[in-house]
Amino acid sequence: MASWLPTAGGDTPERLLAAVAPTVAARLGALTDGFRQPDALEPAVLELCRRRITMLHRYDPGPAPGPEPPAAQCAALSAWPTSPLFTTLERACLGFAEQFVLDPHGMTDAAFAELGRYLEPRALATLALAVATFDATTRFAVAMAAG
Amino acid sequence: MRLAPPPGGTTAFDHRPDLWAAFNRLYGTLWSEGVVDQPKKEVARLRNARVTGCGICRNLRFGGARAAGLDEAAVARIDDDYASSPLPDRWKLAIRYTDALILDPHAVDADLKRALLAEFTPAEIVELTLTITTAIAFSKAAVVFGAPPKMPVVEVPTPSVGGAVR
Repeated sequence: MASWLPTAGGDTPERLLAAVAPTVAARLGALTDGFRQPDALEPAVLELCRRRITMLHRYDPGPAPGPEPPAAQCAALSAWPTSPLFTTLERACLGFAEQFVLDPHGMTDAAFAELGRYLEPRALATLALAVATFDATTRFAVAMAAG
Repeated sequence: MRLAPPPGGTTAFDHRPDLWAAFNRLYGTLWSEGVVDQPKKEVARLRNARVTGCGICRNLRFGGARAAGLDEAAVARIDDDYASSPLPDRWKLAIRYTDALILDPHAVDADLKRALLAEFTPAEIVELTLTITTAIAFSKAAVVFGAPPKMPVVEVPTPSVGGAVR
């Protein structure tokens, strides 16, 4: 997807960033690479959250490097609250991602405590960092894309 | 706060010190190694803090912008009437752009794009955009973690590659 900015090499928001701010692009890449390393939360779960966030922003960035969620899950992603294809943990993470993007002030103590039943603090911090980064980069990509 | 920092940490993100350090290298680069001057980015950050309603971000002042002349009288003008205020036109444009990025980045229309291209280079627009969208997202994170509704105004060092956002 081209950008409205007249910059050589900027035929996608990611390439645009790399063309005009290579150090920023490299440091953003280092951060997002961290979400693809197995740790407190499976990278495939974070990838589901990333894809859901891009859907909420009405943006199609295409696949990202790293683990691919099953195709059936991707196809059912907008129906995650009721689809049997998602685990309780995946639902908890997707619910957090949606709350974050759509209405962060709607997060309640009870809802956050419920999240804590499935995610220990290291996993919760991972999820929040990933979701915030995906929200920021998707919003950036939408704004930079031609429209 | 809904998720307490770990022992020795100061934010909930310190539960993932490796990722938090990577984020701070990114944010520090945007703020301290960029091509857009700090007052413009700070005006945008503070506009987001007001609109998003983050009790922490709203009362933080980054030292670099303060040293460059963004005082409390100017900060007070980043309100609903900013367009008719004596704030510099480039700051007003940064505020207008911030509002669009918060409410719907698809709504950055042709008129706003023309205004941005007339005032900023492509590199400045890219940096300003990513700085603003990152500020938006991480102010939302503070809200989700249960930011206090009120805190005193505090001046802190501008994020830098070797520093950390607190």
